[in-house]
Amino acid sequence: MNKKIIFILLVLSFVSGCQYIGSNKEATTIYTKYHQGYQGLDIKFVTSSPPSVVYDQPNSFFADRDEINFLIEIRNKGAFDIGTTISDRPFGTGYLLLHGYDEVILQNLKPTDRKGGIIYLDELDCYGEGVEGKSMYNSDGGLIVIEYPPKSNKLGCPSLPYYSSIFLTSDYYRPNIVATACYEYYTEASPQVCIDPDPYSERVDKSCVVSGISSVSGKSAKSYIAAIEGISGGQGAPVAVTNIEEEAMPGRAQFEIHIKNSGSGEVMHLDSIYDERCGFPSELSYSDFDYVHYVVTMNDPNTPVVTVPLTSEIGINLGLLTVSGKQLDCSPKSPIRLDQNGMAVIYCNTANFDLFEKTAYKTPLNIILHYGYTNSAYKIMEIRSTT
Amino acid sequence: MVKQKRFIILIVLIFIIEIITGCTSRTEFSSDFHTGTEGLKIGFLENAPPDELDYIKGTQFLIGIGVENKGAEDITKGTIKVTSFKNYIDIKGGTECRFEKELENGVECILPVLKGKSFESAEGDFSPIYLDAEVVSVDSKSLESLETIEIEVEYKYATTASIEICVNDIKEVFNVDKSCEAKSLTLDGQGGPVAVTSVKYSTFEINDKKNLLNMIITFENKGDGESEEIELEEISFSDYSNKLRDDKKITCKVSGEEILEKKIKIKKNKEEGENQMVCNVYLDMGLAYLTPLKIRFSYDYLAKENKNIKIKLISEEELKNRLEEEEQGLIPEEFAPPIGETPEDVKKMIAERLKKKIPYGDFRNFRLSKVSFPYLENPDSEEIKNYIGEILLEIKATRGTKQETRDKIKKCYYKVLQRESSLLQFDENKEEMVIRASNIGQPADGCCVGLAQIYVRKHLKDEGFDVDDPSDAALNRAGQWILYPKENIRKGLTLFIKCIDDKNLLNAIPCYTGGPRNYDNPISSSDCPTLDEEEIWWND
Repeated sequence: MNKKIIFILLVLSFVSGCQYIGSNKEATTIYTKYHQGYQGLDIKFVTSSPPSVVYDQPNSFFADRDEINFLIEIRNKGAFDIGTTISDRPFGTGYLLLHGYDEVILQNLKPTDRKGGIIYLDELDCYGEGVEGKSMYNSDGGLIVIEYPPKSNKLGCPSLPYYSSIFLTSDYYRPNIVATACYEYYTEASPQVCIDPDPYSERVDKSCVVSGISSVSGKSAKSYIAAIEGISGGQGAPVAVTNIEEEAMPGRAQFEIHIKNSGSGEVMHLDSIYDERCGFPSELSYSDFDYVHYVVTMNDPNTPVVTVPLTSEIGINLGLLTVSGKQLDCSPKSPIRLDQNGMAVIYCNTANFDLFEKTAYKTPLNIILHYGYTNSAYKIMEIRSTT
Repeated sequence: MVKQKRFIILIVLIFIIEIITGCTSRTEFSSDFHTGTEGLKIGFLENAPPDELDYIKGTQFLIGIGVENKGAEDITKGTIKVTSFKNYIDIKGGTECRFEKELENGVECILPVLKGKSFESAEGDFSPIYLDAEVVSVDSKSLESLETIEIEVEYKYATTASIEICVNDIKEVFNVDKSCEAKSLTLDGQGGPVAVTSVKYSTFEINDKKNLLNMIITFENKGDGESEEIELEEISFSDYSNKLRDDKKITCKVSGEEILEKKIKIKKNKEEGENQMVCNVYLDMGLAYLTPLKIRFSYDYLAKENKNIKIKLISEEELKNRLEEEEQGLIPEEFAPPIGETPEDVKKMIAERLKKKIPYGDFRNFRLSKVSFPYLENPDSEEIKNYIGEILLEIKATRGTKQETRDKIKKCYYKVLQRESSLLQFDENKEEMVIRASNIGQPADGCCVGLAQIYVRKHLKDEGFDVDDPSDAALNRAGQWILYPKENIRKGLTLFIKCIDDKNLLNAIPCYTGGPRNYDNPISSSDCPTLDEEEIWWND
């Protein structure tokens, strides 16, 4: 009998604890690769808020409002801050728009004192909050919950809260509620590239060489082409640098930078975000989609930082973009347009860099993509009449 | 050992059954009652009239007509004509027929108010209409004459279609996250014989501020009856409507002409482009959203039904025999079924009665045998008393009365209920009693309340059986009366309150029971006391 018990205990201990027995797992070091992934803001309706089925209630003045609340959870899964920042890194603007329902049936869900009832993802907005991106301090990215109807207790904001109400005249109503976020976003990629001003030299003590894909003989000279490492898995933003190829030529290097919209949303022109047109199809045109501003720089002792003006499609200044290093000579000019598959290629070269008498060296190629982005969450609900 | 094995097998079986039964998906309750293409359904009740009749001058029979509102609209106005084609039959009125006018070959009655399907009731109202009829002549040259009884109902009806449409969905060259997409809709029915069968629509951009919504709405008569024209009462969504006069007005046209209080012709067999109206409205520019489009038509609807009956000539000898049989048949049939032990037994009991060709659910003239009538000693008295107290607080007449007054009524009604539920209601010298009231269609009196109590409390223990079989509304309604004792008590008490128009509560009893009762242990004035002057409410 005792043998049986011992045997059973032994079996149980194996079943329940086998993962620990003999484990030689080492303690992992905390190292946050936050410039990874293909997402920006991830939007979700909080489960049961609103519930899938809601019954309208007769309104009474004193109590029992047939109020429904929408809670929208926003997590910043990228590496760029919206409406707030945890360090001195740049941050962008963005807003949330609730739509897709008949505002005569579902009333007072949104603030009325602003266009389309948008709520800014900004700690300065009465009803909004900023949402920080992933960083070395926060590997998951920030999480905020926006509430409709909005309530605010911030200083200088309306003290009266909104109360929603339902006015249903049919037996039921099944809207597909949409929460759309429109925001600006950055992609930062800094892969290490090898600058070899003398690629044909047979020296063996070079710090680095450009080789890997092929070496081809052109009309005049041989070219060395390499695929650049360190960009796989995205850069913590929906538009990603997916591939870089370097071609080394005597006295200069040329880069072919492939970018792609790898997120689930649409790339918007920045001015459609700044002008609050994003999310309002009637105010948008074809030219509001798929434009990406970019800057590509490399370290240069004479130019520590470069400040690049951002311009809209019609030439309006949208601000300045400051990046360390000196700008490469690139084409097509920024902003570049993505094709219908959401892809584009930027060609850059180091023609304006003085590489005379320099030996091969490794340096980061700083690629900054700056764009607007929009993605949405959906919630189908049913409102049933009780009358 | 064998026993133990069996026990284990039993446990395993129970477990398996539990898993199987517990895993079935539950169907969700649907609040959508605006479905189907039926309106008022008419039909002859079983054996009323019979398929064959013998010609004896003065032979009387019943024409039973069931009218059931199968749609989603209440019927408040309508007539029913019942006519004989060859005038062999004289159709007279009946208690359920409120005369509109007498016709040459039949009668025209006003239809009772029949509520349609609604959120509160998944089934529409059903009402039987019984008409007395008499064979007055036949084709003397033939042994067998054929007669047709025709029913023609004409009623006001309406169809309310609520269709979800996606407005402000403009086709763009770029992708945007939208709540919905505008698609043409093909529809089946909305709880009325005239139905909206398709809605084709699209939104166009007109200028920087306005969009135009264009809708082509097709309607059809999908029922078995006829309707010549329909009237568009309402078309609306959000805060746009055809009833408005401002820029949110929906304008509808038929054949290029605007519909303004005009009727729209409707064809039974439509061709391409017929039975259509085109509606336009200017929308405030905005994001696409789903909204219920309400379209309401009203119309007069005509439906017909007929039944052929054979009338046979019979010889004088046969007539004599028949008369003798009939005389015997005049004696009320004894209704003394064995006491039902299960809900099924009760259902069978009711079904048995139906076979005896007595109008559905009508328990009048059923004799109850004293021997087989169960004795109910004290049916859950406290529970019943408490329930009576609750109802008295709900009934408008007694709600405002003093507790003392309500206690008096409670005590009195409880005594009546006890008597009506037990042998006490039988006359000491008689071995049987005759039920005078009907459970169906007629106001039930205390007798039926009591009868129901017995079956439910003593033999069914409040367990219901399936009364949802739609094939026999009358049978099921009878079942419901018997199965829901609380409803019986409520109904009985409501009648009893109406009968109280004298301070002496004892005087309400004969009114309530439909006639005097000779209980061997009469209800005394201490059970049913006299109300004080300030306790009466009916003079207010």
